[in-house]
Amino acid sequence: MFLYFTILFLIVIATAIAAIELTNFIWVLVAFATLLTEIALFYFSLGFPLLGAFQLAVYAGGVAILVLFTILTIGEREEEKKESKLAAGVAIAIFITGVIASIWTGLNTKPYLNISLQELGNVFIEKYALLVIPLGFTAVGIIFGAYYLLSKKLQGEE
Amino acid sequence: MQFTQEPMLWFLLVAVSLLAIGVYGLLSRKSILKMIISIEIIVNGANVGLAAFATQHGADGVILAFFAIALAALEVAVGLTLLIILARKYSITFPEKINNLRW
Repeated sequence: MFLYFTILFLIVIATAIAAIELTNFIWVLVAFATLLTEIALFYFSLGFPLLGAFQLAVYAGGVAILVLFTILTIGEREEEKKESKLAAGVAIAIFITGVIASIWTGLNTKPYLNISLQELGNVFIEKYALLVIPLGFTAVGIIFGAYYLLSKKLQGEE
Repeated sequence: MQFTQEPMLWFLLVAVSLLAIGVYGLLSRKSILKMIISIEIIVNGANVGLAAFATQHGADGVILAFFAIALAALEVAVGLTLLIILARKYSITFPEKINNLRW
């Protein structure tokens, strides 16, 4: 099981770095889609198949296709290289702090909870059902805003 | 294959690694598309952390991860829309060239 986790971990880290470092946008998308799929595998392995399926559908399906559509629209442009020691320093600082915090919180692992789909639904209805209403309004507003921006842009082109 | 007794520390390390890589990409890349992808990597790191905590503390983490995924997808939709508009109307794909709102 440790070998399985190690392979998943290495693929996730390698594809995340590739998605940042590669310059050809098509290969960036391939690395990004692989990363999202591997994270879905993490969810499946943790015992959350619904979350994994949602990740596959929304991220590896929807978002990856959106990014692909954008790349095909704006072209596969090479980005300008920029060396940033400050960014590397901030990332390393966050990583070290996160590792220390992870060791602090994650050392005492209890037995895994077996969360069934029914329990998930119960918690959702009892605690988070009302949150769906503002979330729905937010989603509609965002989608309408994006559509409005694009349609205004198309009108401007005509 | 399903993890049953693995230390939660491993999953938190995955989350922290994704967070650090995403922050590095966000601060160091010039392309808007790369910055959006970096933000998505950060959100995915947070979701892995939420799922890891859910194995110990109950179903709330999973539900929050559902909400985070939905909102992140919406954020990508708007970000890419803005990118397409900037690229096709103003031929801009690098954020430092956006100065239309500067006074």
